[in-house]
Amino acid sequence: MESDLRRLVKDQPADYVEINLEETMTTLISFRGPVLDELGESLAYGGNVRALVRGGWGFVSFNRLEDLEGKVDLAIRQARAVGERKGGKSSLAAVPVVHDKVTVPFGEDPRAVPLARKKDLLEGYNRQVLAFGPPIATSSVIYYDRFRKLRFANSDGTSIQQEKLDLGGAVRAIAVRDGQTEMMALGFGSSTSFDVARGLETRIGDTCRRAAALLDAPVVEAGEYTVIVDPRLAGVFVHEAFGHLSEGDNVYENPNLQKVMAFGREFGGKHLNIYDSGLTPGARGYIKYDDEGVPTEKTYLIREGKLVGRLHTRETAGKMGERPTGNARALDYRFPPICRMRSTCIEGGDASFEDMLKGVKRGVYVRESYGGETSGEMFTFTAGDAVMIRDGKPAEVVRNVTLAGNVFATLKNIDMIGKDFTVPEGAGGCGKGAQAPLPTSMGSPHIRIQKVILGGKAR
Amino acid sequence: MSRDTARDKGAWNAEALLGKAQKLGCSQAEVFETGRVTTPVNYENNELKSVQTAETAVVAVRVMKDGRRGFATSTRPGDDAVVEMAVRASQFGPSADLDFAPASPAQADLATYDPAVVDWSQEEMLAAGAGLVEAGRGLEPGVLASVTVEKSVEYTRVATSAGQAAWHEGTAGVLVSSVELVEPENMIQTWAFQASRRLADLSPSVIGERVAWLYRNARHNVPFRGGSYPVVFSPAAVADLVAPFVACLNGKAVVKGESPWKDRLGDKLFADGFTLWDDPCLPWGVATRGFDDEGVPTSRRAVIEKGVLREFHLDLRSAKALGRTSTGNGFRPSPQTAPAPAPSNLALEPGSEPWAKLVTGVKEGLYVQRLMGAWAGNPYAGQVSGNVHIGFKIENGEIVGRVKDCMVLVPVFEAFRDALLARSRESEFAPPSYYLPHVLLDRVSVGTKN
Repeated sequence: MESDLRRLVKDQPADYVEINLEETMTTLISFRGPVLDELGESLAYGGNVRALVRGGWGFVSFNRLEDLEGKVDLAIRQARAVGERKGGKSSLAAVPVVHDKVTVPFGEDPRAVPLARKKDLLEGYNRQVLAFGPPIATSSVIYYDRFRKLRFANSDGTSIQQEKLDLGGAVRAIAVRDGQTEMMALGFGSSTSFDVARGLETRIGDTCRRAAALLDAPVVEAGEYTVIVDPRLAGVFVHEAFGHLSEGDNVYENPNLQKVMAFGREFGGKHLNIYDSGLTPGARGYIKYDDEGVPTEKTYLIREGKLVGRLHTRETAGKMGERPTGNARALDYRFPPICRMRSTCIEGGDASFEDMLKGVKRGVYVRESYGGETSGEMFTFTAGDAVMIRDGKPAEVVRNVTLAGNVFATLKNIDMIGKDFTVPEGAGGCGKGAQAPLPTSMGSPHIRIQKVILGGKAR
Repeated sequence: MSRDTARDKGAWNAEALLGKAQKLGCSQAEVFETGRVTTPVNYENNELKSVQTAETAVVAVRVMKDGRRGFATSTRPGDDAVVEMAVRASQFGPSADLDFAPASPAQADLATYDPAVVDWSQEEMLAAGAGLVEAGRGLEPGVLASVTVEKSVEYTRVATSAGQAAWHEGTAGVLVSSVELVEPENMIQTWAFQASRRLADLSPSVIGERVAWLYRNARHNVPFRGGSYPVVFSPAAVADLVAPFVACLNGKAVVKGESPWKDRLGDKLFADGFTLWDDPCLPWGVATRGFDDEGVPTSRRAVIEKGVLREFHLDLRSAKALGRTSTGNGFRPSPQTAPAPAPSNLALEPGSEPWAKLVTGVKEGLYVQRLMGAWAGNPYAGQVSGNVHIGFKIENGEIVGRVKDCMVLVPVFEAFRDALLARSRESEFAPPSYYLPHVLLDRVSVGTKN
């Protein structure tokens, strides 16, 4: 089969051709309130062909695996239609030709856990949330696992068979009182082992207590604050605020942005180190090869405050004359690979949480994440809950805390980086274009940032 | 896929799948199949980048067996093993808590299929894109324009063991145009979007002018002091403001007690000027369809009428749990997921004035074209908090420049009760399928740097 795929894309009238075939089985279980909401299995089966002619791309995706020659021809025709109009030049960075067969370095294989056992485990969590009692009124628990078998070949001669696992879930506690609804959630996720879904009882208890506490919490006052950010939200921050800006496809055809994102430019203090890595087994952002067949790596973006790298596909690396990093990723066979993150992290520093509290007269400790969004230099993200800091001490819980700011100013305003680095996994993932949710990971220790704008009620 | 062959074929034989489910001992079964061919043409950074074709088809089977419900999907064309998968899932599945749709005629003669979209040639699409790129890059040196011109043709079939056999075909065209300028300490990204099932509704010149208008107003930054102001929200921003309504109107959230409105049907909760339609009949609307993803006929209804809560969005399951009938709002977030309550075309009743009049009426305030991150957060609390992505300061009825580093917080349930000043007479589609006017709200909290 692999040699068939290689033959299909070999010696074609194009500068580059690749083919991907996929077979993926997904299991989904969800509870909402006291009852099982959904339990089902999905088979995704299909493929795509991508071709490059004179800098123009053609892309064909399909479910019917008959007539693959015809799909190759169509992709090349499309690429030629684009390339001839452009009259450009194809420039893909050279990468090693690879023949490999990749399996999942399993801890506990979720496929070996019977469906009934998975359901029982989740049902237990769901019961625990509901048994918390008022004001916790209802719950939701979701779990999925997705096992993918991918076959890839390109016209350079690379052929790779890969198996990939992505699993994750969330437990949500919903507190209701007098028409007010508040919630908190916990997440888990892995690319290697089902055991991350076990032993969540302590975290669930904490999640219930925090959801209940939000009912009494006032809405935070809008304004500018010193904030201490927990590892989960700091991870979202580095992903949203800096990771996306480091994606080569934003930069490679944008001369002005290249000036802004010039290597050597100082983005933060000496204590600031940021990287994106595909090499952490277990992390949801773990991938041995990207979807162009390029080996992944640990790519430093910022070292000691200075910009030193960015994330590349073969095309963005080729056009910029930079090193390919293995960041071309596609959500599934329906989409072409584009420049995406893997595990994006702020490296640990040396501050303790107590150090960070010191000297904060009026600040906010923001925790957990509802998600975030970025556009160019602006970012925003929403905390799950937050605690006011008054005179260096944690004070009352506040709610509806949304943080926003300018990336460059905010990175410079990170004045402390904790030593408690973690990669808190969760369900969900990253969205870009129509491709969401892509499994990614985000990690960080606690960090402290000066002068962050918080949305809230007007003073 | 031509119109006739799709009707004849699809990719699966629904009758055979229903027959197999019956043979395997299922008391009820439902087959949902949808297929789509999408052809986008993409320009990026002033250059033509790619032409693509994506052809997908999915079948989803739900069964009831031994009092339990099973669900499975497959994208392997013709595959009938999906029935066994659903039966296997039913062993551990939820209790059989709904009845699949009985035979009933879907609404007929809705405007969903425009042959002109099908006939839209690659050359014409490329030309439309090229024109928009030219308009964008011509705004000033250094501007990078990106454009997507897309057409799609789709079909959906729902067949049930209770005799329902519904078939839909639709077309859609989409234009997305954006421009970007990067300066050392300043970035501008503005975009505009049009979507319709009818080609004649797409106008590159309207989109090009919109992008240019936004860009010119965003070109100069002006300071803005935090506080409480009247704010004009564009349809794209209003989409963020109505999202909590959609969450609370969701029949499933009502059944689970998450929605704060579970006991409020018939109550006046909002201003007289606030009427929210679920309108699956809107001619050429992006979500216009005669039946939902469970095969239940759709109908046009006010869910909130002059401020009074009239109706939830119900699918078969939430309707049964509430002792009601489905409102034809069972839609699948993706073809691989089970149906859940969702609006079709969600339309906010427009007002009487052109939207520009909303701006001229503001002495000091904001025009917010788009919010960032406002989708995040707890929807049942009705607190929409977002970063102003593209927003302008209004001074004495005129737009005077762009504001940055600005957050707005809108407690939308209170705002649409107490602070709804005006709605424009024009409406526009905003993703996913909301048809919305401009809205002027009073006393919006705006947070800025100290």
